[in-house]
Amino acid sequence: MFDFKIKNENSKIVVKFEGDLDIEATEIIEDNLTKALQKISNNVEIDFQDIYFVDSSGIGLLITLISDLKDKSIKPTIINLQEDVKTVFDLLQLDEILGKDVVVL
Amino acid sequence: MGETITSKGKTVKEALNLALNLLDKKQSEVDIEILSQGEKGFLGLISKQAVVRVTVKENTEELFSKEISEQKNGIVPSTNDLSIQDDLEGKAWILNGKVFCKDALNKYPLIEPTKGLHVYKNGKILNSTDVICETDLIKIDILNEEIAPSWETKISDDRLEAYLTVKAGVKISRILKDKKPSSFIRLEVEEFRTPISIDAAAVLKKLTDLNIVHGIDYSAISKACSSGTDGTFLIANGTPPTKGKSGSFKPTNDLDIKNYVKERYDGSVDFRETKEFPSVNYGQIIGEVIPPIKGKAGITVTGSTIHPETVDPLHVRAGTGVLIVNDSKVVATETGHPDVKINGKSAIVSVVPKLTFKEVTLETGNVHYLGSVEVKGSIEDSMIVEARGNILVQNNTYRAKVLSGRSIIVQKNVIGSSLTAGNNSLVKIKLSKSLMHLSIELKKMSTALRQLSQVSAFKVNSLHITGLGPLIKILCNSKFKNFLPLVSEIVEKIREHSTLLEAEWLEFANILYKDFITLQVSTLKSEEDITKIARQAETLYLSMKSGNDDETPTFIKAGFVQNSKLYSSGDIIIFGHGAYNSKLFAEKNIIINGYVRGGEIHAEDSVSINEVGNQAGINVKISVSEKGKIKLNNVSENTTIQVGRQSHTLYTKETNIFAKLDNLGRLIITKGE
Repeated sequence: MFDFKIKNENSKIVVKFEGDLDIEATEIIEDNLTKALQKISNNVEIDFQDIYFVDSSGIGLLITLISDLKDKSIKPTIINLQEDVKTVFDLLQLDEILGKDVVVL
Repeated sequence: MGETITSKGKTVKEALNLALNLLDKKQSEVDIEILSQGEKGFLGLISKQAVVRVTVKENTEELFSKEISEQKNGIVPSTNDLSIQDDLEGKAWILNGKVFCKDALNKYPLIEPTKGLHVYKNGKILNSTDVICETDLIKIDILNEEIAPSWETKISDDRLEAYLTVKAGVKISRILKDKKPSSFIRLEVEEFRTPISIDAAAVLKKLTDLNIVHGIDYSAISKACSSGTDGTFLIANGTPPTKGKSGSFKPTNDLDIKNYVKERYDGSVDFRETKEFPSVNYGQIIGEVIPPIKGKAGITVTGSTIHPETVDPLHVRAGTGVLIVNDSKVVATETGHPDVKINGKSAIVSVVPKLTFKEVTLETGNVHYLGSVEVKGSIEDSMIVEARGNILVQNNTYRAKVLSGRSIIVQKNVIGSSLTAGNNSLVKIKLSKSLMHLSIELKKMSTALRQLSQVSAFKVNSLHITGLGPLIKILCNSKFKNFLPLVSEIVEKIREHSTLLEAEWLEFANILYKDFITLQVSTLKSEEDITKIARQAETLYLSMKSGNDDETPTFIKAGFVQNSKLYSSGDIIIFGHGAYNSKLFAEKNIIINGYVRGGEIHAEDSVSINEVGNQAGINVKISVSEKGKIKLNNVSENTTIQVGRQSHTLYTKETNIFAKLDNLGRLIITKGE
């Protein structure tokens, strides 16, 4: 089951993802997370430490989320990718879509 | 001992002759001992006479053998017995395998040993040249050698042949060569080589061990076993399988339009002036499905069966206007043009329906038809006739546009018109590159999917719920940015030419549209679905490629052409007066029985024209591809001939011009009678 936690640090907002980033995360991300991030202006850091499984719908949600943030001139970053999840990102060449600097190794 | 006399003379010869006369013997019947050679004195005065002692031989042979038996192997004997007295002192010689010598006061004879024998002098082996004397005990050991034969068997990779590779064995026996007396004797041996045969029984046993049972050639084995030289022999030959014949379709009548032209031996052209297309009536048998003939199985040398290549039946489907009776006879249910399309293992036979017009005018309107069209009269000013099948015009076309998926015949004149035959192949050629590209991209995409599904972090199961849509959307934004534009281009092009293209093309366009353009409703579920579409793209591409060879060739035939443009994916044949100020382009051949005045003529394969140019000297350009050839019977000045990239302009009248490129790519033009 997907969930997230938001933590305010000095100049940025850290969003920690938990569970599987898959089709079942649609509602939580589209409703809860989008609302929670609506009024922020600080840069956002998404922590993938506890994400072990993704699917194409989950990736689709992530793409939408990142591009929404960018539209609001917020600089998003993704950190702590698990090795296997990183492989999925690479195979899909996600940096082409998300932008080169979004995934931080 | 026989009678002995001693005689004297001026020379040895004179003394000997005197003795022989006295004894009444021939020279061969006596032993001669020269006691003195005689010496010539000053100014020819005899100072000393020659003296010989001649003894009559009692029994020559007995004496000779006695001497030999006395000399045991290699013991140097005294030399008094040599029949012709010579200066033997200090010399050695060899006779019948034995060494002889005679001592001298001032020198020793030398002997040199050789390979293939051992020389012992007084029991000690000689390794290099040494001296000998009469008292030495010389023993010679002749060395004989034997090299045993060796062999091995080998079975070919296809197990249809077995070989015996033989290294021949040999027995070498030697004898010591005779040598004339000399102060230095180099021993020499003569070698005799006799081949040693291989034991054929051992070879046969090996074959049994290897399980070689079929097609054994015993005479080859025996030849190999007794071979004196090294070599490889084929000793067993399996039976290869015979090829079968795949199923085929045999038309009852010759359905192909006799379009090609034959050149007669005298160089003139034989026009097969079929000005009609073949047609069938309903109920008529179009042809027969011929079942495949199986090949015969073969047997390997080890006795196992080799199955012949499988032969496939030709799966003939009935297209429109056709019925298949008893799975073999193809019967027309409509009247029209028979059309047979063979594509690999399947074929479609259909009857292309025919629409007939008296004439095409503003009143009839433009014609767009899926079948063939026949116009009994003419196609009038600025009308368009487009048909997937053949178009036949009994009279003329005036400033008209005529497009046929197949062939066009205009029996009279083409004036100010544009004619395109094989129009659909033109479209298909334009599509082919995109299709190939699409198929490659799809294969890449399916590889990407396979890789992804092997990563454990990727939840493959979700794809069963969502389909491939979301994933393809991601891929099309990253790795496959050019994919969607390519798909749209193909879909648009196919739909644009839907009247010319066959149903399978339209079906394919629909699949592409549904599964890739509208990704939300995409029915793609797995990697296999993608490969399936890639295969369909390939099949269409291949059907187009093979279609160019197998199908009835397209052509345009017309009587006279003026101020017009003609394109044919096959041939263009002008059987009447000729072409005036027109552009003709053919993917294969152009043949013009009459004249060409002005304009451009291009064919990929060949151009053959009776007469080019006129008095006014309007420039005419005639070209073919680099592999093509040009043949012109009469040419006036200002005619440009081009083969590949090489061109040449004629400034004078010529006859019987023939042009092509030679092996080095140079333009060769021959002229003459």
